[in-house]
Amino acid sequence: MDIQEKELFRRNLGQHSRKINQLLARYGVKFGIYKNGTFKEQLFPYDPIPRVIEKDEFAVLEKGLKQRVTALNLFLKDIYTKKQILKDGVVPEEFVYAGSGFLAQCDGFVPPEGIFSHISGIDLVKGKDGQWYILEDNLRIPSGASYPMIARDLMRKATPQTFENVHIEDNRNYAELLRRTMDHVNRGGLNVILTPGRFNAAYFEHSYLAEKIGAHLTDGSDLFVERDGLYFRDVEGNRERVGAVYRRISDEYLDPMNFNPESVIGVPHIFDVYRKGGVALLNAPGNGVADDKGIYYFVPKMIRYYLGEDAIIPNAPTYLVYYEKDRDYVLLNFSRLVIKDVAEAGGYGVFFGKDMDAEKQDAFKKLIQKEPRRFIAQEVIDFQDLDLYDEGNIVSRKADLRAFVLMDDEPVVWKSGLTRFTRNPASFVVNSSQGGGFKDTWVLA
Amino acid sequence: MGTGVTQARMFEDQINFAGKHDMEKYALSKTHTDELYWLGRYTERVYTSLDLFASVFDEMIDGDPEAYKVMLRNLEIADIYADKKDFNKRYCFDRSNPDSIRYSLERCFDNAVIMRELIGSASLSYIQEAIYEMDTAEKSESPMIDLQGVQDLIVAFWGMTDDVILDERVRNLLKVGKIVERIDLYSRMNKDMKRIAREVERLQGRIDKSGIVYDRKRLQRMSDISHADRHPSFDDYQMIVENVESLI
Repeated sequence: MDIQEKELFRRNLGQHSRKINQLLARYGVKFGIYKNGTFKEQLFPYDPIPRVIEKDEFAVLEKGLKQRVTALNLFLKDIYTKKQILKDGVVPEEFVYAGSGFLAQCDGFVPPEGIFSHISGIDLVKGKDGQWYILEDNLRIPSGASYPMIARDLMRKATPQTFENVHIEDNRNYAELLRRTMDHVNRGGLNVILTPGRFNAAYFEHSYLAEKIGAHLTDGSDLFVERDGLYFRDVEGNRERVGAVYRRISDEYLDPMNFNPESVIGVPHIFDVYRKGGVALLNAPGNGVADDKGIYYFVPKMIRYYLGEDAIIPNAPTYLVYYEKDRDYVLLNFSRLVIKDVAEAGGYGVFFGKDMDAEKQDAFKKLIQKEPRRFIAQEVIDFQDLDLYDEGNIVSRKADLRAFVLMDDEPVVWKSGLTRFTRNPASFVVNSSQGGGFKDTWVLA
Repeated sequence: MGTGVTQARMFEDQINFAGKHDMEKYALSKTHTDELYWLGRYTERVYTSLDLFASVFDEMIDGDPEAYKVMLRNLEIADIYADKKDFNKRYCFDRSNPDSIRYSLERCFDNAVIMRELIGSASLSYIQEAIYEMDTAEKSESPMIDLQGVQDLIVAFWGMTDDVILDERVRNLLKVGKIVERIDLYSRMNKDMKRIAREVERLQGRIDKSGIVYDRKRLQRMSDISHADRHPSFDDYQMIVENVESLI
């Protein structure tokens, strides 16, 4: 396509914006946020101009993502068993044990089929030079796949001729991939999605995926543990064995008998059944040890250590202020770096040096010297803008990509992904909780 | 000509494409059973309350401006309204008023949204759309016209659940809730006893298929009263209300 044809193509897609967003609202495509202690549901703005990834380009991404998730799974297995990578000094012990991600309760246990991260959400950006960079790994409860799924379904209705003419990988197979992932580790029994409830930020996704994969959606009140089994209790008092739980509850609330005793949303003793091999939990508890922003720095080293390969997709250039050499660099180049608090997520705890005045910079520099384990610093990647349709105009905004890798017999990369964009032209923060929107991701067939 | 297996698969695909919810072996939890029953009740409450409101609204245009008070008394709703204008606004749209139609509609949504996997996104979308329509009506210069849209969407919801939910228990639980609420409201409003008798018959044909636990004697009493060969008294209506309220 030449430039004019591309422009026309984008406008043709863009004109469906209002109607598709209305339909998404009708289907309840929302996310919840708490502001000043009050829960509010917000629509997740959708832009019909997709991110398009060429077949060959995606093939490289696919290879790189499989490589990364394989290494991360090996790391998790190693950390909770032999800890060889620590003994060999590739990752410093304090990065594993000092954070909140390592769960002592999981030590010595390998989950069914040896899989820790069944559903991995890997955040990437594409630099202006065309190079993709990994920004973050999400191995606990990554969300977002449902949004491009439902958007694709609606866009196919809105503009069938586009999908006739452009050969795009169909992304509506995500439910099938997820079901296969669950079946693969199922210990015999029902597949269940465990949700914290309708006031969770990602509740739409929990309920939509339950519908699409034909799983029970429960807040845990219908689940109970007896002996070495987890059961679902029906209205007549009958019980049915549960074989796999796709839990969308964080580790600390999963089981009040093993983790936070004040949790009212978990299932008492579910973790005991899991440790005895009676039920599979997706993703495995304790995965936080591998997706910590501090550990992120070491992922290319893990790939080299476990697989003997160089990372196919590089990290964004990252500095650990924990290391003196890196710390010196960060202090010297503070104003052009982005500083991230390793304990934060969702776009929070991200600070741009350029946005601080001299006084604030000094205060921040003192803080990172005092708490070097708490922060990482990264070069600000000038990542590519994507076009979006804004009330009749085509404008450019920063966007990232969350790719999903599901672990069955082997890692499978979903041929789509959630592209998130910022609506603020001056911002690099794309998170929905910060007002961002989303696009579908088309992988050309 | 394909093989039987292929044809079966094609049929299955068509069913899935249409958004059917084939969960015949789906174990229903106690929570979902309650939610389905109450979803049925609240949808009917919204639908019939809108009917009642439309009737009173019309009556108050050129008739008794306090006609709404009779309706409130019959329904045992506290009269917290300053006048008919206040009634028209708050009875329909006040989210904080547990007797308002808006409040009932939001309870429909509360029950529906946690059962997407049972009732399907397509069904749920009608309840969501009804809420948006209610928002529109609230801001409208002619709310009665827009409220018609809310009723239409409730009817569409019922139609959609009939169409997409293959699990008979799920459909029956919704319908039992709906009929129970209708009998309750009709009796409170002293509607034609023949209409109430018809609803009681429908309930008798449906309730055992839902698997819900209920008081058989009360259902029989409701049937006896509604089918009695006499002019119904105030006490007859009251007896039906009492029995239907304690049925489940």
